Amino acid sequence: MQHIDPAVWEACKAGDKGAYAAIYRLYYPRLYNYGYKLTDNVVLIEDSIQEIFVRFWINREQLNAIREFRSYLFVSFRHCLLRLLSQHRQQQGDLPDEEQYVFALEMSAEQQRLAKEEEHEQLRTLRSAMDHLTPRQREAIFFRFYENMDYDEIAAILQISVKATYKLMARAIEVLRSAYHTMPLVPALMTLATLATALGSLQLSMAIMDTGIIYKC
Amino acid sequence: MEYSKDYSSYTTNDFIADDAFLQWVRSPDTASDAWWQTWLTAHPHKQQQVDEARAFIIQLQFAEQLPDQDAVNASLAHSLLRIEAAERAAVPEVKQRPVRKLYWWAAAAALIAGIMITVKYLLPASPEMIKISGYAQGVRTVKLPDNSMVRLNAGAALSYRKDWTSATNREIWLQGEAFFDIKPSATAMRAAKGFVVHSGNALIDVLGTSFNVREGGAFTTVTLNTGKIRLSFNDLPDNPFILNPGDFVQYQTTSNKIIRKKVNPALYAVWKEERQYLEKITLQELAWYIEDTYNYRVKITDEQLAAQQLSGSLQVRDETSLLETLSLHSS
Repeated sequence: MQHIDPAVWEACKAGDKGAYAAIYRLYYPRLYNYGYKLTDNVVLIEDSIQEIFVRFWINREQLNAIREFRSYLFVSFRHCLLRLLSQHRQQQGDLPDEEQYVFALEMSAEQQRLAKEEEHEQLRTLRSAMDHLTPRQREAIFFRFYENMDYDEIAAILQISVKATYKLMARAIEVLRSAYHTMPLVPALMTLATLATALGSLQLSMAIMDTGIIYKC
Repeated sequence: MEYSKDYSSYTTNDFIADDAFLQWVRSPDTASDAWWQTWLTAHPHKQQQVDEARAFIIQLQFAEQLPDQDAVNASLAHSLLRIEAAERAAVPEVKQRPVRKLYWWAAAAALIAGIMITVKYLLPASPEMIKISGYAQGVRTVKLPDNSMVRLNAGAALSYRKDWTSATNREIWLQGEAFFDIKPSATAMRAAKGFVVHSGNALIDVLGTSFNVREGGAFTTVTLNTGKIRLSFNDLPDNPFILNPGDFVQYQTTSNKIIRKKVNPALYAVWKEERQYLEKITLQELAWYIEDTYNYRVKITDEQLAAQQLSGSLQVRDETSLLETLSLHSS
């Protein structure tokens, strides 16, 4: 993930519009991509990005560090977009529900296409496991494994404690990983140390094949 | 990256959740490669967990919805205009009003006038008040006790004393945007003399006029269509302002500054009708209106185009509908 050059950051804080443009170009796609997981209403996404960048420009001198800036952008964007979404729903006559939010995090389809055959099953499992996460867990996973943020930053964005973020993440990883354990055959990346387990799985899968044959008869 | 932790008891999930581990998998460098190789040599029984955690992290690739380059450019261009507008708003051109004149304007009080003001909040009102709120969407028409008409824009609210006969002035407390069509005191109810609108820190004295009030942001804006009004601000020493038709006064609450200029006032009250008929409005005037009302920076480089006149009915619910109508007309 690309980061802001500290020199560009300082220039922007000093009022350089070229530096502002560079930061805008860097973060617009990332905020858009994130916003699209909260809603497919691109007008509201655009409005929110516009809004928070103007606010950032006005308040830029109060921001100290680049690191702070990244979570600042996501926090204010998230807040602004969820507020607009809530207003929008009310205008559409939907039941006003502040807490109602989705986070449509999906696995890359491209990755599935390029994957080796033996990985297909694994990716499919991961994909369906993603549906078992809560929106909040998916959001945490997104910031962790897409934005590569650390726990402090994620906690700031989700407005929860760092401790709660650790727990949320651990739970999400557990749900995703538990999908693997239920798979009949754990493929690839085996080391000698795991060979014994693999043999056990092999027998299990043969047992399943046997059952299949019985069904055929 | 510091490696102060004891990883010897880490499970696969623990590795996946670890900051330093994630960093190594996602952006390995010679230092982190060396550290993990050394660690694995010392803890060979953890090879499986490390491999699984690595494979898991690498597999977590998500679908991306990225805007194309044109969309990024368009958005950036828009943003640059907005921050310029924000800067201009922060340092407005200040024109002081000339020396206070006596109330010669009172003679013209019976004239019909239109003004638009932007207010910050509703003043606390005294007892026995009637409060009327506008609709969530659309324009609500309200008749005041003296038969004056008020059009409340979406979300606006006004209140007034229940008993107008005992009041010396007809007084209105306003929040949001409204257009008033005030009957001159002679033809209105008995005792009431003047007509006063309180809106945030602004006070508007009108005697028989029609005017329009709006709330939004950090500005109080008054635009007078016809007739005359007197405008005062609580926080300004240089009070009051006497407004002539077409005068536009904008007061910025945070910096305590005033912008005064001439505008086409019909435009500034355009929202009040479902479809407002406007005659011979130039594109330049429209551009100024959009700037003043929606905080955009509008630049028309072609002078001929800027001077081009438009006539017709215009519907303004919000900036989007306005811009849509404009793009239809110009094309």
